[in-house]
Amino acid sequence: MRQSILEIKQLERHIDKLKIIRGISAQVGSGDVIALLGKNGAGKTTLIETLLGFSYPTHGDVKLWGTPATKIDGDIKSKIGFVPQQSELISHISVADQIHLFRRFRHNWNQPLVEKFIDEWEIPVKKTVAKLSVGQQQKLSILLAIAHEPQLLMLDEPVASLDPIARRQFLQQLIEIASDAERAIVFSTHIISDVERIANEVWMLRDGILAYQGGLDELKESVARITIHASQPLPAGFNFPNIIRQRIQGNQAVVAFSQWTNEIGYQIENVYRAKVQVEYLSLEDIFLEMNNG
Amino acid sequence: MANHLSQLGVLARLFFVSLLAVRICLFVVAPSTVIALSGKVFDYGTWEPFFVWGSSAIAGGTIVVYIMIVIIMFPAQLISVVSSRQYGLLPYIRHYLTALIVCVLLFLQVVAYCILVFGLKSDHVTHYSLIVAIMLILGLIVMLSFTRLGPFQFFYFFTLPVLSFYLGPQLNLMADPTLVAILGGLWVAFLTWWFNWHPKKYHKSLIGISTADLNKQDSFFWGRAKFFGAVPHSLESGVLFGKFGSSFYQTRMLIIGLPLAAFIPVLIHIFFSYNVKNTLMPVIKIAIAIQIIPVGFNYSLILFKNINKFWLYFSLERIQLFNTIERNVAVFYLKNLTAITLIISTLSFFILDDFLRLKDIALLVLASLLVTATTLYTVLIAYVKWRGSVKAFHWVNAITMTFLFCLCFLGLEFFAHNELTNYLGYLLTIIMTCSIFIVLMRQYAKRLWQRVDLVRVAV
Repeated sequence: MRQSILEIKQLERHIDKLKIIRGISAQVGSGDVIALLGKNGAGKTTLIETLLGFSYPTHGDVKLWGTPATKIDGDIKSKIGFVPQQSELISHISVADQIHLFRRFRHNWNQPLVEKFIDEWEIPVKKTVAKLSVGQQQKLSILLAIAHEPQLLMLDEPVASLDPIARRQFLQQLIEIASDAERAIVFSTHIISDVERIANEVWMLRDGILAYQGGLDELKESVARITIHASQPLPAGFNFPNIIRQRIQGNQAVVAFSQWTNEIGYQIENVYRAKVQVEYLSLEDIFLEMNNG
Repeated sequence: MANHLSQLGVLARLFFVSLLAVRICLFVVAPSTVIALSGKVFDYGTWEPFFVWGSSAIAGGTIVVYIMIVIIMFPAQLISVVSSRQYGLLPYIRHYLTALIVCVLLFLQVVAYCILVFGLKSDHVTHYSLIVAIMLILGLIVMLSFTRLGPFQFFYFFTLPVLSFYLGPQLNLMADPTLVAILGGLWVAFLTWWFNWHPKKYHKSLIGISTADLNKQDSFFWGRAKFFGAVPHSLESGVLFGKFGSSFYQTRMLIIGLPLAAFIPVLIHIFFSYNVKNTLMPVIKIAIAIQIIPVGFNYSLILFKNINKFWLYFSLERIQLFNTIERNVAVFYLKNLTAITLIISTLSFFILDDFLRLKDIALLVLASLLVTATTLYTVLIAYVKWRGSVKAFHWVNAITMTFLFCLCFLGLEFFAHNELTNYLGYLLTIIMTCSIFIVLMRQYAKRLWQRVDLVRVAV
């Protein structure tokens, strides 16, 4: 049975009079694997921080397992794993001591998993965190986040610093986690191919709101880019609903739609006596179109 | 039972992470232990075990240093843990850290109590109200360090003990229930803040932090650097001493040094019942410590790290680079000395009703000259010999500074009890020996620098 893990209601977050998040409502349940996409500076990290209760929302509510995120207790925290964009581990203690420290706090510790990743990723356990490279620190952060088999895994660009081999290994592990219907994953990334590999839902953050929030397949089926070749000059702008972007030059135009239907195509052909070519986009192209790339 | 043991295990692990940093052990415990022991060896009184609260200012200063480190480093380390989002999600972490705070405070309180009762042999206060008063003052110091009251927390830390000197008798007059109520209220306020605090950003741990990042933590000064005229007067100053130049350090020393130097006589009076007006010599010692610690550790490291950067802007030969560095450090030394002498003179005039005596100025100048010159040539030699290795530099520098510390303090201790004029011959011999040593160091450094590899400093 699908359990509600995270509930967001009309969430707003303002920082120094700047509206970073402008009213987001969403739900995350067990079995969801959500990819959070957005340009640099869109507010992904701010959103993740607010969802985990690190900061107070300016308006709205965030609840984790029915409890306000800023008031979660130790039992709820034990169900969460988090990988930040940059490591915030104490730098003067060794990797082994970090693992021991985290293990002390976690009841559901999977030591074979830890040893497997230490081995595969060749993490030097005797070195202090300060002496690790950025990629090694990221691997350690990932390890510490998944070792206790959390029910909710939140990852803020977890693979940005990983080499391709480590990234592939991590994604395989993520797929295993994703296959567990009791668990949920929310991750932000810029590597679109990873999203297509594991996510079943996409949140596209733009200008502080979720410009898209829904299934990955539905997104790919609903967004289309059409090329219009007309026999006469086209107007300066089209008035059709759900236009993401349009570029018009003389008799030709390229228009991207978020909720494309064939009826719109027929309408354009009839009204403008034009030929319409429809192209369904890859996720990367959808991202570019929706973020004016 | 297993659960309690497990919880103790968590606490022990957190303690290890929070307090037992190898760097602190190496660079504070070891040298300060040597200093304390050396003071004991030359104590003309009866031989006393190291940790008995005796009359040696060095031993007492060592203990003060330990306590100060705990008060400064401990809150900063715990704040770093709490502000880290990764640690922040560990279940009940703040509860365990609270237990740790209580344990450390209890330890400090026991130490302070023992110093006051057994060291001072104070009979004029009842033990119960003394305990509560200590808990109140120490608790307030630690809590303020935790709450980090903006950029001014540094001043709170140093002015609070001075206030305590005046508050102590007032606290003694209060009824015990009032003291307990104040103490209880303090803890309620602190714990309310502690469990509800949501840090806006991650605060890096002070242990293992780079000097550049450490300086940025002191946001009051670095945020207002321009206000303090912190603009390098020359390219050399800017490159060698950091982007704010060398003058900034003098300005900062004046502003920090005054409360620090005022704080020490108060502590000495509290711990050792010395009349504040007779503490000129200890203040001189502290001034030398101020000279050694930032110059010997902080600035020398900055210099060490920036030599190769300076070379990028330098248009002459290596030996001219050597001479230019010497000249810049000499100017820096004179400014430093001026700042410290001003501080001591101000204190001696306003608090101690006494001018700085010629003998004291002479000893201050000699000690600081020895420190600065040795530090400079240690930097230059270490850079060449160990190819810019900071680790090697730290070891060499720590040993050198410890030795100088002992030498200066022994000398000052000796001349505090004996007339300078009676031992002029010996003093002149020591000065000559030190001068020859420095000249030899300089010659050696200059010879090495003829063919130095100007490497990027390897951290």
